[in-house]
Amino acid sequence: MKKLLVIILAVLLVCGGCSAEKELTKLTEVGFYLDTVITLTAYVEDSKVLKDALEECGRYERMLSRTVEGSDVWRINHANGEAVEVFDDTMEILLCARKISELSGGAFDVTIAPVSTLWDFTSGTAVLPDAEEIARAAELVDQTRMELDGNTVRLPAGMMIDLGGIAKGYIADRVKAYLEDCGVKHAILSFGGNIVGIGVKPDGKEWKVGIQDIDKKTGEYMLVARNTGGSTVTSGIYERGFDLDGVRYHHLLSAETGWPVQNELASVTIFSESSMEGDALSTAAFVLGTEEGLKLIESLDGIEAVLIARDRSVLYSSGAEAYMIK
Amino acid sequence: MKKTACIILTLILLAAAGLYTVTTPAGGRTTLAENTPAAGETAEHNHNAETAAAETGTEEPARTESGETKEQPFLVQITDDDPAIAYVLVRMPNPIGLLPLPTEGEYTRTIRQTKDDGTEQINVLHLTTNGFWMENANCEGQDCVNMGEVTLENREERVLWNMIICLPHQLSLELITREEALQMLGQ
Repeated sequence: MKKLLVIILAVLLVCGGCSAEKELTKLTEVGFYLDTVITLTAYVEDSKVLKDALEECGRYERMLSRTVEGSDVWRINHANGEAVEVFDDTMEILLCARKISELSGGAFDVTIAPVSTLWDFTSGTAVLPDAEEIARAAELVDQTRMELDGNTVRLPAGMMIDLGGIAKGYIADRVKAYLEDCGVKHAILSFGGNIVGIGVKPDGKEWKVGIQDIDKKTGEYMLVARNTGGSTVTSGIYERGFDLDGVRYHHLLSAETGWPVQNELASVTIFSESSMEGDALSTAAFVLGTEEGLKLIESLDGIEAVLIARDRSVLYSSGAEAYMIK
Repeated sequence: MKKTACIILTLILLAAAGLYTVTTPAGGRTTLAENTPAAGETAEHNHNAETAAAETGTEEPARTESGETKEQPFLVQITDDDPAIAYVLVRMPNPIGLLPLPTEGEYTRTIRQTKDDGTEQINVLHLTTNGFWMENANCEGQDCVNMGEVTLENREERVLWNMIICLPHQLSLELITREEALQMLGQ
């Protein structure tokens, strides 16, 4: 009898332990970094892992922000032509930025900062910068003049970089990897317009990602995409920007002219594995416009896109419809 | 002997049930409690809410002249007799408390934060039986006011899912079900 009780006790102990470990709760943590909001939602045992992941975001902000004194980007921009040693992360981003820039014929360019700093898209005031100043600043935009060597970066004096079009994607990828290393199997993470998933929901259902309705309030979707563990990034003219005299002035700037790109497109969504690539490609494809943008996407393996035009027509790359729910 | 075995088995079962409590991981299931010192000590909503409000620089609920009406306090616990089926979780950016969706009618709730320089950051939420939206805010950009309504139906596929966020005021609002709220609180 005693033996039987010991066996029952052992079984209960083992089962009890297992059940406790598998008890997952849907928890969310929110943080404000890099001028955007980061939301981490995951099925986890407790919120500590998500809090630690947010702290990682803070670390990346101190490394990659243009405005945080002492960050890699700040030091590059204030080096007056001298070489600056940077973290591996910064170099990885700059190398990816260079690759996307070359693939897109310069449509994506991280040396856009002399121009982008002249625009105010966030305060809600509709003021155009001085046209001559924009023209002068646009001459300083040319990533081919940025020297990348080992872990050092050299930028000609006067030029500046801004990783706003790519850093969020990189951080999204790193935070995802961090959570996966911590054993997280079900999560959906949002970094501004960058969404990355880990697996699917615990019940096997896919994550749903709304694609912003270009004519409606922020948050209202026009299309819904599925995410089963990849990256979904959208760049659109409805994001940061203002309307003046019937023209939409938005944050997707031409590296050539320094003015917001005015073409037939309203938004571009990229489906990819790497959110860093997706981030840069969404801007690049937007700047290139429908025809050239789609051509770029079709030339790349594992990348799909949804292009929404200002007239609300929707174009898909050859494999993109598989990502759509409605 | 059989009787003794039964008692022992019952005791073992009880102990096994206790395991779930004992092994509940440390490190933050009761998210709200970490930010509200009074949380967990009492289920008395008003007391906790006012403590939470004082901690975060929010104003205490406004009273009418009669002193009878006041703004909905933040909840940091959910009691069995609370009839709400869903709540708005308020973060600044750490969790402050829950605002219950009304079971009938609708109400507004003003959230005030005072910055170090004395300026006041104001957001006015509008809660209905089915969801909420940002009715008013004194922030730059007004993005939060333009985020539309979060409802129990659209919260899985909205662009920011169940959230409305005021970036300049570092305020985030999330529509969560009663079940999710109870899980989050570890209740």
